[in-house]
Parts: sequence; structure tokens; C-alpha cells
Amino acid sequence: MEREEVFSKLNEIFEDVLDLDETPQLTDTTSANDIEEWDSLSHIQLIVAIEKAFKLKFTSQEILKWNNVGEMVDTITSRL
Amino acid sequence: MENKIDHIGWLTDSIEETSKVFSILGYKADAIVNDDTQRCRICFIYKPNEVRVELVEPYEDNKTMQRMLKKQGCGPYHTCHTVKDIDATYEELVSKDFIPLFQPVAAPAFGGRRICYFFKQEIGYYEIVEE
Repeated sequence: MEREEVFSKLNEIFEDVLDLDETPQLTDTTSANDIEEWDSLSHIQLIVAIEKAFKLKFTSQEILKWNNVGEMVDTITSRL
Repeated sequence: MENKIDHIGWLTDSIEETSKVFSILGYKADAIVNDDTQRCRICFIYKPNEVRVELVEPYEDNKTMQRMLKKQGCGPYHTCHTVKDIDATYEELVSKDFIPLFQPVAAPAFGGRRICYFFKQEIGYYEIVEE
């Protein structure tokens, strides 16, 4: 799966899980600081939804290393 | 891992209303504490020889917990154990793929003792508090 496709899927997941009014335009540098609804609890809900959508299981170490969406996408693409 | 049960976390949209119903079941309530970091009102209710219950009412602006409340309704949503060394336990749980929501932080409802929340798909939300 191409990075672009991963971002497209993530946009849908973020919109749904965070109950956003419009589809976010996630980029490599997007972080929790850029989206008000993205807090520590919703971060977990995002992870659960992403694991389900991509049929993956992340380790805690992988999750703790993420500083932005780009790093999240790196992990996803490395596993697909 | 050495730990013992401290409480069961109970999500509610009204501490007053939920506490009123628990009083029918013999529970007594402590004072309500505002936790501005967690963006929740918290109240412990207890009954002799029973595990105490932590009623958690999210602030209106706590959108994530409000969504959780809307989805699951009032009810239990986490368990909490006391631990002797919260930093060592944090590291141990992370090494076993419990996902931490944040690093241990001081919590007003525990008189400033530090707490930490984790998530593990197979058991849901899990909290630890230092002795």
C-alpha cells in the first residue's frame, strides 16, 4: 500500500474516531498539537481503530516513538 | 508484580445522581474533587469490606470522555491497583505492551499521589496509583 493510500485511510479514521466536523488533511508533520480533539484518551481510540483497519498490532515501544502522523505512517507502511 | 486493588472506576454523567442510587446499595460518598488535569469531577464511594468505587464525571469540555459516555453509558470502565514503585511498574507494563496514556502524574483525588492510565486491548483501561 502506498503512503498516499495510508494517509487517505487515516483521514477517514481520524474524522470518524475524533468526531470531526470535516475530514482532516493529515500530513507527515501533523501532531496532537494541531487537532484539539486528539488527546491522550482519543489517541488510544485512534490506535485501536488503526490496528483494526490495517489488521496490525503495534507494540508499546512503537507507539511511544511517534511524534507525528508521518512516524505513525512509517510504522504502518513498514508492516504492510 | 506486587499490587492490590484500590478501586473500580465508574463513568457517569452525574456524580450526584449515580451516588444517590449507590446509597440505596449501602455506599457512602466522600467529597467531590475537581481534577482540572484529567478534566473530570471525581468522588469516591465506599462500603465496609467492599472495593471502593471512583465515580468519574467528565467536564463538559472533555470531549473524548463525553463521547465515551455517550457510547457506553454510565458504568464501570477501569480498574485500579496500588503499586509500591510507580516508575518501575510503568516500565514493566510498557515492556509488556500496555499502552500508557501519559507518564505518571500527581492526582488531586489521591492527595497528590501519582497515577498513570494504560490501555490493553484484552482488558481495556487499567490504572495504577502509588502507595
